[in-house]
Amino acid sequence: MSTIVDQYRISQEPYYRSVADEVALFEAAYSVRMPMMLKGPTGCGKTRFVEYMAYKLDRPLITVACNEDMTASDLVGRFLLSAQGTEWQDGPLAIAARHGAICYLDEVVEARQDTTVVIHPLTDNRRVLPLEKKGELVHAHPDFQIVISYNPGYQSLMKDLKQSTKQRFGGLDFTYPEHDIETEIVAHESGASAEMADKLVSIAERSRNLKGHGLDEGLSTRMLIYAGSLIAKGVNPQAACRVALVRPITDDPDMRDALDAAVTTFF
Amino acid sequence: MSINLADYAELLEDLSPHSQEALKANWHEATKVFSPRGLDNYLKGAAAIRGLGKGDSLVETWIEEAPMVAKEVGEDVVGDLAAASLMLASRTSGAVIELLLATSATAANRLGDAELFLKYLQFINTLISQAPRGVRPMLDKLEVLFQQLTLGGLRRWALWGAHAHRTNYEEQIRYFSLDSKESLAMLQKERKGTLLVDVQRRINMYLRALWARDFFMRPTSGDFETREGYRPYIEDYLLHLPDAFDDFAPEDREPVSGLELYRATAAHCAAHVVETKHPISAEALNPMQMALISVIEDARVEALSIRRFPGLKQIWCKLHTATPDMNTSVGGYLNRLARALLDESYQDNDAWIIEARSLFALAQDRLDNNHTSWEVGVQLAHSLSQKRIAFNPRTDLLDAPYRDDNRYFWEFEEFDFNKAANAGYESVKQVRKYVSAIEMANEVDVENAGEDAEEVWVLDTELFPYENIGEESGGKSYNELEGKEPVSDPFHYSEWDYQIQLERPAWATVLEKRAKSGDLQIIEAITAQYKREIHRMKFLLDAMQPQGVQRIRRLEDGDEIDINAAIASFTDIRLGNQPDPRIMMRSVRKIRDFSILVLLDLSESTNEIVQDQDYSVLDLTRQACVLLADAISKVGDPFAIHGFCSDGRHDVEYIRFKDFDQHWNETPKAKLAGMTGQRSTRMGAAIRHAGHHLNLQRSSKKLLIVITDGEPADVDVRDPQYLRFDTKKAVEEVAKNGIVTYCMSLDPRADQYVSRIFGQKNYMVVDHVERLPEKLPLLYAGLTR
Ligand SMILES: Nc1ncnc2c1ncn2[C@@H]1O[C@H](COP(=O)(O)OP(=O)(O)O)[C@@H](O)[C@H]1O
Ligand SMILES: [Mg+2]
Repeated sequence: MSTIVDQYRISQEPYYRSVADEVALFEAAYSVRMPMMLKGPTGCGKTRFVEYMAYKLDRPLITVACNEDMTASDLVGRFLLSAQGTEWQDGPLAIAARHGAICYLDEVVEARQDTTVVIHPLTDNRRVLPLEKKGELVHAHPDFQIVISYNPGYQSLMKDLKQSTKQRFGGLDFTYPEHDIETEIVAHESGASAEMADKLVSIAERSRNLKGHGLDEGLSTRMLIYAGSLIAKGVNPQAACRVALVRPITDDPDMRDALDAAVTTFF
Repeated sequence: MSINLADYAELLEDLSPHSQEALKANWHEATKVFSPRGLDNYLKGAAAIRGLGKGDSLVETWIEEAPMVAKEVGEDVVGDLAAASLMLASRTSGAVIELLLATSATAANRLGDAELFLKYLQFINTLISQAPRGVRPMLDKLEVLFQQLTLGGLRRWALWGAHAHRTNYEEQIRYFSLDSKESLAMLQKERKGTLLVDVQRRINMYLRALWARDFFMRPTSGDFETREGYRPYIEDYLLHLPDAFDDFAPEDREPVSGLELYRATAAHCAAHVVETKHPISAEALNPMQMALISVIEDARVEALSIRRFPGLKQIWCKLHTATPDMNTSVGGYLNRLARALLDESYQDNDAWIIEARSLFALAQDRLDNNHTSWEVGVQLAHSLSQKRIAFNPRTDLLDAPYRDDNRYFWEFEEFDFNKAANAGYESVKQVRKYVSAIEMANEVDVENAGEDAEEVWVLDTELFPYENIGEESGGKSYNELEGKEPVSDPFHYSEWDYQIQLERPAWATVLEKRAKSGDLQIIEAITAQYKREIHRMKFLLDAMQPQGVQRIRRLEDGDEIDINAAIASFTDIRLGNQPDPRIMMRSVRKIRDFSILVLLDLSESTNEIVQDQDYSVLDLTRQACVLLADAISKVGDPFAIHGFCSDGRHDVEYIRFKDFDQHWNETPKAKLAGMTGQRSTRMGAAIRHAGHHLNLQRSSKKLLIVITDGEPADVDVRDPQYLRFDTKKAVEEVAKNGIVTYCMSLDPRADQYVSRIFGQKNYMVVDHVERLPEKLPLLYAGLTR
C-alpha cells in the first residue's frame, strides 16, 4: 500500500497492561469506526493504550500533540511554495483520512476551539474531510478512525471541549490503575524491583490525596516510571523521589516538605 | 453605641485638646478595626489612662497603639491592655507604661494570638516586681528578643536575669539591654524551637497525604517555667499540639528537629483518631491497669499505621530513650515497654519485657480491635505488680515527647465515629421550608431563634390581616405592610480558616435581596454632570468595539496565500533571484468575548463623607457605576452590577442592581439610584457568589471588578486576619473558573493588604477618591483591550 503511512506503522508490540475491559471496548468501537475520546489525567497510559490498539488492529497511528498555536491548516494541510509553483501538502489528519490510519489528537483541549471544529465532518456518518483551499473533499478511507484524549481535571473553562464536539465521541475513562496493576507497570517499565515499585505507587497515592488540597494533579504513572528508572540505575531512592517526583510537581515549599516527609514514611 | 466620635463627647471631655486631636486623627482607623463595643472600650481606656495623670504623651500612645494591637490579635484584648497599664501605674513610671504600650503592637504581631498576648501582659506584670529596672531596657529590645524567643523562652530568659541580678540594678540593666555575656548566653540557650504556626500547613498536608482526610489542629501552650504541660492531647477529635517544640536532643543521640517532632506527634495522634473506632471502658480498672492498657493501645495504633507507612517507625523510634537500667519505678518499666513494642532493635532482657513482647506478637492478627489492648494490658499489669513497685499515676508517665496523654479513648462517653471522621466540620445549613398557612399556624415558634436558626418556615402564599381585609390595611398583605424585603433562598459558601489551613464548609450564607428603586433623576443628573468625560471617552470606546477579521501577513506557514507576496516571489523566481518564502497569511478573528461583573461594597463606611466635600463615598460609587455602565454598554460587552453588605456570617446580603441579560435602561438605573450603604464587609462570600453568577455566563473571559473602601470585616469576626485570608482564598477559587478579579480600593492605606489579597497586579488604589468616576471606565478599558 501507500508508503507514506507505512512509517506510522508500529512494528513491535508495545507493552500495555490492560486495566479493565478497555481493550475489548475499543475493539468494538473500532469495528464500527466510532470516534473515541480517552479521558483521564496526564501520564496514566492513554497514549500507550492507543499505540497498543493500533498495533493490535494493525493500523498505522498518526499522533498530533495539540497546542494553542495550532491552526486548522496544521491539521488539514496547506499550499507550500516550491520550484514548480505551489504544492499542496496534506496535514496529518488528511493523511490519516486518505490512507486509513488512526489519527490520535493528544490533549485536544489545548487546541483552540475554532481549530477542533475541522474534525466534525469526519466524526459523523459523512466521514469526509473538506480541503477547502484545495477544493477537494476527501472521503475517509474505511479503516480510518479518529481518537482524541483529554484531561477533564483542568478546571479552567477556557480549556474545555465544546459540547458539540464531545457528543461526537464514545468515551473511555482512564484513571491511575489500581495499586497492584500500577506496581506491575512501574516495575516493568522502569526496571525497578516489585518491592520498590510498590513503594513508589504508595507514594503516588499519598500525593493523589492532596489533589485539590494544594496540588493540581497527583503524581502520574509516568513520573513513577522516571523515579523507578533512576532507582534501577542505582540512585538512592529518596533522592530519586525528590528529583523525579516531588520537585517537578510543586513549587510550594510547604507542599514540598509534606511530600518529602510522605516519601520518608516508605523508606 | 455609635461610630460617631461626636457621640462620645462625655468620655472625651477629660482629654486635653491635643489628645482630642490625636484621637480624631486615629478615629477613622479605629472605626475600621473595632466593633461598636470595641470602640467603647477603646475610648474608656483612653479616659482611664488620662485619669492616671501621667501626661498627654501616654494617652496618645494608647490612642495610636490600641487599634494596632486589635488589628493583630483582635479587639478583645484591648480592655486587658488598658487594665494592665492601670495596674502598673502604682509600681512603675509613666515612661515604662508608655513604652509597654508603644511596643504592644510588636508583641501582638509576634505572638499572633490573643491568649498568648494576655499571658505576655501577665509576664510583664510579674517582671516589674522582680526586676523593676530591667523592664525598660527589655522593652527597648523587644523586637530583637521576639525574633529569637517564644513567649516561654522570653520568660525564662528574663526571670533568670531577674533572679541573678535581683539586687544589683546596674547589672540588671546590662542584662536586660543584652549587654552582658551571660545575657547573650541565656538568650542562645532559649532560642525558640519550631513554632506550630510556622509549620502547621506542612503538617496538615502531610497528614492529608497519608490518610486522605483532614485533621484539625490547635496550638496549646504549656507552663513556661517548667516547660511542662506540653503533652499533646486529643479532645473533641481535635489534635491539640504544643505551640512550639524545641529540637529533641537527648545526650549521645542524633537530634530530632522540632518539625520532625511535630510530624511524629501529629502522626501519632492521627493514628489514634483513625484506628480507635471504639472507646475503651475504664470501668473496674485500677490506675496501673489503665496505664498499661494505654501503652498497649499506643503500640497497637502505631503498629497498624506502620503497616501502611513503614517509615513512621523510624520517626517514632528516634524519640524513645528508655534503657534497661530504668528499673526502679513503674514509669521506667512503662517507658521500656513502650520502646520495646515499637523498636525490635531495642535490647532488653527483663523477663517482664520479654513476656510483653511475646504477648504483643501473638496479638498481631487481632490488632484491629482495641479489646486486644485491654486484654494484653490487664495481663501485663498483673505480672508487673509482681515486681512490687508502687505505682504513682502522677509521676509514672511516658517520656516520649510525641505521645499524647491518651485521654482520647478513655474520656469520651459516647464515641461517635462519624464525628471523629468529620471533626471540625460542624456547621448547620439553614433549611427553608415552604408551608401552607395551616401548617404554619399549627406549629410553635421558637421565640429566641435568630438568623442562624436551623429551619426557617416560609409561607408559600401571602398572608393577609384577618379581620380587616380591605379596611385599614387597604387589602395589603403583612409583607407589604411591615414585612422585610423578600429574600432569595440561601446560598451557602465555605470559608477559609487560615489558622487551621482548612475550609469551614457552608460557613457563610448569602441571601439575595431585592433592590429598592430610587429617583431616576439622580442618574440623569450624573450623566449631565459628567458630559465632558463621557465625550472624551467616546474615542477610546469606539476603538474597543469588535473589529471582525484581521490579517497577519508575511508568514511562511500561514493558512492562505497572500496573493501580492506570491506574485512578488514568483517574479523573483523567474528573474532567478532568491524568492521570499513568506507568501502566506493568516486571518485572525478579533472578537470580544468578555463578561464583566462589578461588585460594590455597600457597607456602612460608604456613607462617610469624602473629605472637604459634600458627597459620600457611596455617591461617588454610584457615579462611577453610571459612567462605567454607559461605557460598557457602548462597547457591547455583557455586564452586571451587584452589591453586598453583611451582618455576620449568616446574613450576607447580596443585591443585583443590573443583571447580565438586562438592558441598561430605567429599571437598573432606578435601582442604582436607590442604593444604600449599611453594615459590614464580608467580602469572600460575596466574591464567591459573584463567581457563581459569572460562571453562568458563556463568555470565555470573565472579569470581576470589586470596588471597596476598606478591608474585609464583619461583626462576628474578631481576628482581623481571618477575612483577609478568606477573601484571598475566594479570589483564588473564582480564578480556577477562569475569572479574573480586580480590586479598586478607595482606602488610601490599602496598599499593603489589597496586594496581598488580590495579587500584585490586580488592584488599584484610587488615592483621590473624587476621581473614581473617571477612573473606573478607564480601568475597564485598560483591562479588556
Ligand atoms: N496500563 C499501562 N500499561 C503499560 N504502561 C503504562 C500503562 N499505564 C501507564 N503506563 C506507562 O506510563 C507512561 C505514561 O503513559 P502515557 O500513555 O504517556 O500517558 P498519557 O497519554 O495518559 O499522558 C507510559 O509511557 C507507560 O510507560
Ligand atoms: Mg497516644
